[in-house]
Amino acid sequence: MIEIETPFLAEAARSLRAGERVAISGVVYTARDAAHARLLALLDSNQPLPFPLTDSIIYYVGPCPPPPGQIIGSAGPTTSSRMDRYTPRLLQLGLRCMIGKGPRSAPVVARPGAVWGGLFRRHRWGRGAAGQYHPQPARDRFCRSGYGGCPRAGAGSFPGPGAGGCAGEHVPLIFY
Amino acid sequence: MRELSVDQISAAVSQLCIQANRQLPTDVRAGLWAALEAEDSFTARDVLEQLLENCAVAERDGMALCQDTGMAVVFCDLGQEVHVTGGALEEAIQAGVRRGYREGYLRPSVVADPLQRVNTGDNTPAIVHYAIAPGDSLTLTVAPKGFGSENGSALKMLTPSDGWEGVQQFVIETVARVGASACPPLVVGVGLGGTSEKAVWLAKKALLRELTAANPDPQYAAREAELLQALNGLGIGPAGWGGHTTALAVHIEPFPTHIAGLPVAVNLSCHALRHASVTL
Repeated sequence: MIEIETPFLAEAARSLRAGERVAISGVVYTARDAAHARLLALLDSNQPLPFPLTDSIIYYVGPCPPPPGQIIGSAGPTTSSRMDRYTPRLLQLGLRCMIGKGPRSAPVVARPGAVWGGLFRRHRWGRGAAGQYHPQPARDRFCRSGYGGCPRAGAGSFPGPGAGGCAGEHVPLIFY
Repeated sequence: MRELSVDQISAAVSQLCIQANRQLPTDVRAGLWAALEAEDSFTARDVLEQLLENCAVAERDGMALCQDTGMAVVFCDLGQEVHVTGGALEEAIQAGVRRGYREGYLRPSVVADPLQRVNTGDNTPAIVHYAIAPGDSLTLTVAPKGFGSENGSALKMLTPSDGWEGVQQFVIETVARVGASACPPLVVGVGLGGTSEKAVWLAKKALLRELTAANPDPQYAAREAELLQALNGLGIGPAGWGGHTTALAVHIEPFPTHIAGLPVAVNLSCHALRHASVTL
């Protein structure tokens, strides 16, 4: 198990090998299709982004509403390839890591220093890991489709997704 | 003539939405256990163990199996001797979905317009498929459909000379192309024949069949087994990280078709093949 803290620096990413298990601590931003479209629109109009991209981690997720007494509903990664159209530009601007499921397109996978992953160990498909994952409400709703993104999710200890790749390799990284 | 009130129907739909999203049917769980037995790699076994643990946790804690609680697909088989009282049947079903998703803390995932994309906030409208049946009962099935797998759906209008070989090739190509994103191990519904829309409907309907139940026609049972073996030979495996279990089952639903056609449709379900039914 490799411990990763955010910001996720280039040296830490370079030391990873596909198939390794990692645990992430720190801040992870959540964004899906609609949030990505808005990020790109902001970039196109030279406006500031709602969070710093450099060495950041984006988790492709739209959780269920929290039941009473819970801080989050079920949460797990959505299909990464839907973001492929937006990702190369974000990578150029310093995005380090993406957490989602399914294969990525060549421009995403081939980017040196980019890390992508997908399946959670304890905090995974269909399961909100209450108590370990501490989302902070977005300051304002970032997209109208509702679950497209709520930029900031703090993670105390962000236990594991499993499986992605790094540095051009197609073999999975496993996040714990 | 038997009377059923719209309130009864709404309450049933609401309860089914919650049940389907929290409890994986026992046949699907058994399929995941069987897959675990069949896998030998660490990663494949690890993924399947996680999926099974996820089922247990979802049921224990009353949480959705998956954050994508789907677009609600409702099959409504209405006995022709049933008289629905107190309002419109369609509205009763939609009201049930609205209530079920709200009370179950299920994610509203529906946008009102496919291009404007503003969330309706209550997961309606549901997609409702009606069938008129003999008798005086009403059977409702709620099958929440997540779009990780729904996006892998495909239709091809083959022609007669393509035959079974063409059908196999299309199903295998489809799963090879999209299977890893559709949350495998998959259940693969194949609609064969009819018209284009009939084939797509059959492919969806095929997912509702009990997991280990083969097509009652031995010819199709053999074809299902043949396709399942071919799909599991793709090596996509649980969560797409390699293994012997790309699919838990292939269900083919054939229907008479035109002399000039051989429509084939594929509808995929993720490992969370969710559905719940009740007869009123």
